[in-house]
Formats: sequence, structure tokens, C-alpha cells
Amino acid sequence: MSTKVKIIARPTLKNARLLRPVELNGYHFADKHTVLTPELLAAMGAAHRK
Amino acid sequence: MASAPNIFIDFLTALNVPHTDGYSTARFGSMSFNSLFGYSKLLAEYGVDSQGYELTDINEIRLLTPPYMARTKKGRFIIVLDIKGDTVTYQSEGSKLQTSVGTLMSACDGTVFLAFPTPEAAEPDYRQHRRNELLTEGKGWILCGIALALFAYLSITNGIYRHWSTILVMLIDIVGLWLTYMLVQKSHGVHTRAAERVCGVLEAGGCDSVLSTSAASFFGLFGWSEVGFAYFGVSLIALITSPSSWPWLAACNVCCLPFTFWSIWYQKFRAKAWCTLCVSVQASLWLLFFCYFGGGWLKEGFPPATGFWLLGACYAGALLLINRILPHINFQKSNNPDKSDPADI
Repeated sequence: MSTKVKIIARPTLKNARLLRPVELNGYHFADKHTVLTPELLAAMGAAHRK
Repeated sequence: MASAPNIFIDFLTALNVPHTDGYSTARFGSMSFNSLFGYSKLLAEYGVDSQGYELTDINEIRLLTPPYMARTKKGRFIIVLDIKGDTVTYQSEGSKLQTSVGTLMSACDGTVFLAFPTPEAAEPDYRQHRRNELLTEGKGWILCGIALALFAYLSITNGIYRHWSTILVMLIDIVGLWLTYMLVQKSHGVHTRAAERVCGVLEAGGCDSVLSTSAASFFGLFGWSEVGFAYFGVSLIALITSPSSWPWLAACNVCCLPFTFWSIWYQKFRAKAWCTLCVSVQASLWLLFFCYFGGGWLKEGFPPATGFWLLGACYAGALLLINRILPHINFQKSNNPDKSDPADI
């Protein structure tokens, strides 16, 4: 790769909480490979609003 | 050789962190903890610091610098690549897509994962892995080059170019081999964009419907896709290596034709779905027939002699060999890239 590594600025967030390691360990990667299309994302949002 | 897409590779690519597909995919697959915690530890090996946040005000997602990972309400992660105005560019399972910021905010559960690579961040031993990757790719290219050169040499020395019928037969065999290769892949759960584009011509999802029926295999012993792959493979090799086999190739082709009627009948009346790949293979068999007929090879192929039976043995042998080898091949199964099943997210 010839492009430089992206430098990401640490955000200043007023309404956010840092996740502790034990909390990070609770978020797993699903063994599902369906592409999350914009339609599926919209359906997720709509289902939650109901 | 490119691995199937995974979020780790995609994220490293988005961050421009030097890495190789093979090593990074293997490390992702062997994380001690299959979680964001394990993921953060893995990233640390690459010189990438990371942090997870829970946004109580989802609007603050606009304050984050992409790329970062966002968790959806169904627990799946996407990579947010860029936000310009109201348009979000994101990546899911290797596919880059766009949606509105509003849709992103409604679909996400507020959990985001940010990475902060150092300027020197890279895969451990990246140079060595990259060299090995290039050498492996080089071996593949050299093998392809040798195969093509041999193919060209045999085709020319055996006079394939001398008659229009043999040129067309060779081209149709190559197309048939490609079609049956895609069928073999699909029957083993590998979905590629090329196959889905072809399958979508007659009926979207038709290939999957037909391949899932019991008729997709011969009494459960051989898949018809394997039979087709063996047929076109042996036919192509026999064509370019043995001009004396051309009449027998014609005769064997005639023997395959009744199968085309059964296949079309089954798709129309039993499966009630059209498999474009399967129909294309049947069309290829008929095109071959017309080429053999037009080239005058058919009349030399009957009555069948020793060469006919020898060729038949080659077909059977190739089929048995393919059938024996396939279970040992680790197909990288993937979901249909153009089919999103809301029930499988």
C-alpha cells in the first residue's frame, strides 16, 4: 500500500460513555453474511420505531 | 488469492493500515475472544489503538471521524466510511453502499467502535507476508501462463483453427466449462456476482431454487453440475489433444441431448423455476450438436467404435475424480451478494 495510514482524531463527545473491556467482550461478531442494504437498515429503524 | 470479505480486512483497508489478506483473515478467525474486546486486542497487534463508545445521543454520530464501526439494532456491524452532507457511505460484507444519515441513525443502536492507528501501524511482519503473498500470486500467474501456452500450442498443432466447426466447438466448450464451474460453486454454497448476474437473466433466484431440488443430483451420487463440468472439461482436452477423437466427441454429444429435454421439462413443470445457468448449459449442448453436424463429424461418429468407449471411460473417470476431490475442497461459502434476506440479518 502506498497511501498513508489514516489518522483518526479522538472525538470530544458530550453524550457518550466509554465502553469498558468487559462490556466490549459482550459485543460479538455474528456468523451471518447478508449484506445490510440501505433497505434493510431502514427496515431495522422502522421496526424499532413500532 | 483474495479471501472472502470480512470486517477486519475491510476495516484495515479503510484505515489504510498495511496488511495481507491471508495473515489478517487467519488472525481474525483465530481471535481468543470473538468479540469487540478480542478485536481491540488484535488491532493493538497492528499498532492500532481502539475504543468503544455508547452514544446516548445518536446525533453525535456526526461528530465522529470515519472510518469507524457502528453496531446495528440487530447486532451486526457496519463500517461507516464517509459522511458528506446527508449521505453516508458505508460498507457491509465487502459491499460499499450509501444511505442517508437519518437511516444510519435509526438503524444503529448507539454503539460505535473507533480505531486510532499510529502512523507506523501495520500488520506484524508485513513485509515478509507481502513478499510471500506476491510469490504465491506469481506462482499462480506462471501456472496460468503455462496452461494457456500449452492450450494454444495444442490447438494450433492439432489444427483446431482449420475448420469453423472446431473453432466454435472449442469456444462453446470453454463457455460450458465456465457455466458448469459456476454451477459447481453455487451447489457448494459459493455465490459470486458473475453467477448471480447470469442467474438473474431468466429468473432471479431461479438457480438456487432448482439447485435445491432433489433432481439437482443423480440419485444423490453426483451433482449434475459435476457431470457437466467433467463433460466440458474432458471434451475440451480431447478436442485440443486428439483430432482422432472428434467424431467420438460428436457421438457423445448426441447421447447427452435427451438430458436437455428432461432438464427443461423438469424446470418448467416440476421445479416451476428457471435456472439460467442450467438452461445455458442445455443451449451449449445443442450448439455443440449443430457445430458437429455442420462440420460433418457426426456421420464419422457412428457406429461407435473403440474410441467412443474410450472417450466415455474418460468422461466417467473425470466425473469420479471430481466427485472424489470436491468434498476436500474448502469452499468459502458466502451469502448471495445480491439477495438480502431480512430473516437472516
